[in-house]
Amino acid sequence: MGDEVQAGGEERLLIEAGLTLVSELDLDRVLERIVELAMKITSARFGALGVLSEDHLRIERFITKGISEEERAAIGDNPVGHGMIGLLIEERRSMRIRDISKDPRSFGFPPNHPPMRSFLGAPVLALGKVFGNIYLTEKQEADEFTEADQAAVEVLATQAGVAIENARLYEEVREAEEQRGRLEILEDRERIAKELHDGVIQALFAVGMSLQGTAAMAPDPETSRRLEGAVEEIDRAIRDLRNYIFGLRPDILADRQLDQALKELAGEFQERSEVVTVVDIDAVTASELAGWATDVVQLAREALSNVGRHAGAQTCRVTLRRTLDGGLLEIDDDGVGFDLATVDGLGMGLANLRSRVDSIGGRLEITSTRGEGTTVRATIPI
Amino acid sequence: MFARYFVEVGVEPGEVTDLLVGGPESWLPGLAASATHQGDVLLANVGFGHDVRIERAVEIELGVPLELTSKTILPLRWTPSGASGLFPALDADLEIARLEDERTQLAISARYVPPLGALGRVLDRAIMSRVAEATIKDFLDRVAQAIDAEHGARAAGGT
Repeated sequence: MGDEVQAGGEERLLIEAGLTLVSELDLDRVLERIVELAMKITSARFGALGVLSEDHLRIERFITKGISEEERAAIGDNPVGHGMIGLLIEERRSMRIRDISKDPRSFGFPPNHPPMRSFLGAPVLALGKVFGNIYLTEKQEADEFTEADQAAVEVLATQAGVAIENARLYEEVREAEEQRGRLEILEDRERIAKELHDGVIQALFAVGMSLQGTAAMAPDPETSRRLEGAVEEIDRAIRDLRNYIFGLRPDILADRQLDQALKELAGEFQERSEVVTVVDIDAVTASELAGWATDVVQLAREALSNVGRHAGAQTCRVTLRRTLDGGLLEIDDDGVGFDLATVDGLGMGLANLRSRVDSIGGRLEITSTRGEGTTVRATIPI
Repeated sequence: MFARYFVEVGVEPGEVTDLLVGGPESWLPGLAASATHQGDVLLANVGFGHDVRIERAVEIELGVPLELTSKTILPLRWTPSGASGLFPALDADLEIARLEDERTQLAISARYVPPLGALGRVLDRAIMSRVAEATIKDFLDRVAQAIDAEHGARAAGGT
């Protein structure tokens, strides 16, 4: 009667286990659940699942339950497949042993391994191939695992094989969908880039050429100057479009105008403010930041504007260089400096800097010492 | 500022594209440094004028070609090596377009920055545009000659 109740309980647990496993789609979680369920069904104190390598010669992963992280760390490396574990890999059938420590086939335990006697192992098959093995030890409240335990673990192992295959297929489908999504985005970007280049840029270029020619023939200097201004605006628009197009495409030469823009900006600032401004731009970093050129120039403009309005500086330096974290735009001056704690909020200028840096996923750092000047560092991820 | 110039070569567009994209050393005029990868900085010589030929080294960077329905575009940029003088820095698109009879039109659409700052902008109207136009014309003519020569060599070698 008692055995029947126990058998009924196992059946219910197995049904629950099957439902649990097939509803789980994450492979790592599936493997953990298999071990937990096997332990629960058989009342094992320790459980493990060894995932075999492709060649089935060694254990690639070893998931354990029943021992703590510390205990596992103290044991050392994962088993490689000697002794009973190796035997199960070789024989590909379930095994039940009363005391593995006395079994002549046992390889023995490494130092710090908890003592284990009763043992039950079963292979997990997925699509007809051995995926790995379930290992259960230390049957609680009994000296050894029963035939019913073995049968239950074999059923569970079969369900586990289906769940593993299910999770693998789900992972493959998910990866394929992600890949397809990435491809669609790339194709869309490529199409937009082509349309912009073949249509908009060509048209702008033609208008620019025409205005340039007209400017050369203009009857008076004012008309000529205005037309040349329009040409420069068109040039700027083409440059922005080119940056956009080539910034969308990997490994392509973007329009390398950021360095030029920063130099011009610094030159204009020096002329206007009479603050001697030194520029040190790494051309490679500038090209890598071509896609963020507008933001970088605006950051430099805002920072220089702050220097001009508040710093009372004699000299200023604009640097763009590569760091491990990305492109670093640095503007430092030898002005009066300020106490960051006494600035209301961040001050409008600094708040604008912060907002722009945040919008491109960058990091802003401002250091200032009274009487020694201020340094603004904006790190932009590349 | 803008400049545009085009030439025709008697070589099929596919071969022109292969030559331009595959081996810069075979067409960059006066190439001074071999390159093995796209995006390397190459050193080449460009010049202008037929009567008084002035040549100087420029650094040329090539981008990955953009293939459109009607043509293939190879982005490039050149920067004068050392002091720039009158030679402009150029951002250009070298276009390879199919013509009839297996001929190809090579066109260059360039935008250039006057090299002398404020002075360059004043000079540009009178001199710079001619320098820039003459330079890209000379460059493209020599590219076309190199392509013709390479095509001829391949045909003669049976490759």
